[in-house]
Amino acid sequence: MLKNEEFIQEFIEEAGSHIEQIESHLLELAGDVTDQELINQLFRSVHSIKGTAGFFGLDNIVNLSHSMESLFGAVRSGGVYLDDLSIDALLEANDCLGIMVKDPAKSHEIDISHYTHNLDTILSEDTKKVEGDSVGTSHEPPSPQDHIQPAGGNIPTVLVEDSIRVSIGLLNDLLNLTGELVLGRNQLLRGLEGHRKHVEGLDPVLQNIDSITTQLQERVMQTRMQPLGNVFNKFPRIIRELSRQLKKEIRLEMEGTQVELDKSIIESLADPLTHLIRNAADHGIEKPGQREDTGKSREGLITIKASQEGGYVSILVADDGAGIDVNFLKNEILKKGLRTQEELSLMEEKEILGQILLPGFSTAGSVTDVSGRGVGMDVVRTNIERMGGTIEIDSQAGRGTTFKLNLPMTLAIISSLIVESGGQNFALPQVNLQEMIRVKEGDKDRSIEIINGFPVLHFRHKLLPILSLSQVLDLPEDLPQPGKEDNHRTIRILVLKMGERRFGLAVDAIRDDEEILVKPLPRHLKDLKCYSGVTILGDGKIAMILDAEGLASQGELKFPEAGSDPKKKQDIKQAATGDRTMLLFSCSGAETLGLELSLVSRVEEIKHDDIELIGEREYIEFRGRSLELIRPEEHLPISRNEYKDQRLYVIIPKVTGPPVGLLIGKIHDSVSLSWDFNRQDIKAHGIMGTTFWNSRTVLALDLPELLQKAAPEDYGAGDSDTMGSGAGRGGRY
Amino acid sequence: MERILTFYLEGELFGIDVGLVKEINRKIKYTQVPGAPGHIVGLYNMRGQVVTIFDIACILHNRESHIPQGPTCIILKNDNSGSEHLGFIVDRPGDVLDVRDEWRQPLPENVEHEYGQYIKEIVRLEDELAAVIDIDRMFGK
Repeated sequence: MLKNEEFIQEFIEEAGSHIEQIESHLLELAGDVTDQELINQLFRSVHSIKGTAGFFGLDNIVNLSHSMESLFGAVRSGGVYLDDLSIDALLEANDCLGIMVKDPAKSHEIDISHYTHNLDTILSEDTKKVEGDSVGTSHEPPSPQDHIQPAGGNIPTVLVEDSIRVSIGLLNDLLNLTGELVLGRNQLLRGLEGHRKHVEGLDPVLQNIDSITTQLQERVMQTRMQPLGNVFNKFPRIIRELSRQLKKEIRLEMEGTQVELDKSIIESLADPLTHLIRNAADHGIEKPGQREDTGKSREGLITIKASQEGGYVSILVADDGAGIDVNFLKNEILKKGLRTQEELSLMEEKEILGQILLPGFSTAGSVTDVSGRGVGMDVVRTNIERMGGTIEIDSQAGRGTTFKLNLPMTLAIISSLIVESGGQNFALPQVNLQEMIRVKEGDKDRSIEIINGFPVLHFRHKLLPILSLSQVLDLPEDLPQPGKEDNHRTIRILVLKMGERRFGLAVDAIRDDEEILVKPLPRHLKDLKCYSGVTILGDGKIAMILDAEGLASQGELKFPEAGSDPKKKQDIKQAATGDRTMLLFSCSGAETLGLELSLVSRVEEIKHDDIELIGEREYIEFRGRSLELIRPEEHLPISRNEYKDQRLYVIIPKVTGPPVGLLIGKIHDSVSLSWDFNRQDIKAHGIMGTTFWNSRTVLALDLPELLQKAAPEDYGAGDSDTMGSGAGRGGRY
Repeated sequence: MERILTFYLEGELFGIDVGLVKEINRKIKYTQVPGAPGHIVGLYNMRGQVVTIFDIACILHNRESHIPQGPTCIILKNDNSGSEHLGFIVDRPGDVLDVRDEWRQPLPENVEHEYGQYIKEIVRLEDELAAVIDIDRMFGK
């Protein structure tokens, strides 16, 4: 029996690959149902499963594969013509077969009658029309002959493939050992460098070892490489089903299926790619009618294109659908409170698109069966980044959306840059590196300034936030070297990219490019987010591999200023020199009010009808809770009118007490204004003073005082001393 | 009968089950890991294997580690949980001893909890006591 189990394991693996083949062949067959070679292959695959299953007495598998085989037999002899529905029935049956094959011990529990019935119906209906079936189809249960089939029936495939199965564990061991061999070779060459000429015959031996080791490493890496086709294979089926489900016409084009990647990357790619393709089909491609209205062909096109660039593979997933409407996206971002108006106004289009990769984002206008069910793009991003890859988005409204994935070819060995800070070496993966900048003190084109307490580099008319590696990691600062004049100090900055975001990492020195063998972080260091792994450098020392994302979060880096144009830069400069950014809005009257943006948690758009009256107070529902509304005009010396517009806004300020909302009618802008208020003009509770914007008077709200008046029970007068009118930032705020 | 390897740490004598020890390395060169917990000294390259080196004096007395380069280190056998190697710094290794049952003593009641939870038992040797370390507790299963 024990031996039997070993064979069963082999059967599971072998039958599994047959089932994958059957699926892809069936889908090919849908394009050309007369392709004899395909039908022959299908027949052989099913037959081989049937044979081995018969040997183990797996009756359900035998019966279902028998039904399929009979149908293929009839097709082969021209007795049956396969239409779309028949192919669907075969695909379904193949899926069921796949389930049974995965766990043969439980295969007898599965009800296959539905599938065999469908297949038999196709067979009998068609054979009635055509006479003389029988060639290649035997309705008898498998004969004893079949029992020998696993060996006999498989000979062609075995000969063609010319391969053996090796366990992944063994391959991984080989990979690791080879990696060590490479390092050993490096050490050997370094150590014997001085003796090459003195010891006779040493030089050719060393050269030989060098070259053999390199070749060995390449070959071992290849053993783990698999073609992308292994993942792409399942997409035709997905698109076929999606187009039916969504009632859209979609064509799928695939390029570069032969491009190879490390097995582990191939495996982790399946989910993210499937997600992107479902997204493209569901949200990207429009309904046929809609497409015709906009002058496109009825049929939507989804393209998957893989290509190799150096040590990286790039995969494009593109659709020619509706594209992403940046303005719609902006609204969504504001609504969800992921970014503020002001932050958005400073972003470039590409960065705004990048926002859909953030957690908690789903662009789905409505949740459909296919996507928008909470498995968001952030999961795709996380998966890709975990493999050391990056993802970029490009979209044009009306023209389509393209996602570009960049992946390292192998997980184990990556090219990296060795940098030094605080006297220690670190490895930085090249995939994160965009460029290196040297900043000399006094250089006008590239100057480092402190804005809002963060160092920022002016570079190519952009502002790049800067982190110092020594500071993030709390390393001893580099001591000024004797002999060098300090005012000519050069700072080396690596520009790192994470998706659309960029930041600069200042390091003490840049050492070398090195191909490194990535080892996982030891268990006790898993919590350190600044590192993605460990490696052993050529000199035998261990170096930590830096994680760009982790460094940014450890350094509490914020990206609002990234990519602003000179005019916006001006705004930031003002913000840095004592001005404040204010959100300008109006209530029901004509006055313009201002509230410091840093006090605003979020702004919600609501409908007038959403407001509920409970007692004398007004509420709206917000995130499943009721939020009390305050109408500022009722507590301030400003004019009051009825709201005519259905659309209103609620400002939710940052407060430590129970959340409240300020009901307002219109948002004008968020601008940087002088904080130098004229406090003489208006002396009223709730108003701090006045300032000017576009020759209009702006009344600056004193939030603590307003809340004190509007909701004394929660924001009572007892705190008035501390909350006072101190620029709204004292006390509990 | 159990065999233990004794070692000295800050003047105190400790012991561990010799069956858990892979090797003792002297004058090791390690790489510090910025941001790592205080009781982790760094990572050491043992013939291509990455070994996480601990300062167990820190764990026992709950303080930060200050180990100069080149210490002596006991490296433990790979527990079957994976390819992880662990090691810890000692002042100097002692002997390998067969422990007789009559040498064993319970832990005195007045030891601090911080310390006591990592000690399996006390063994009375000829003229001194050795605290036998509970490796599973110390490094977390």
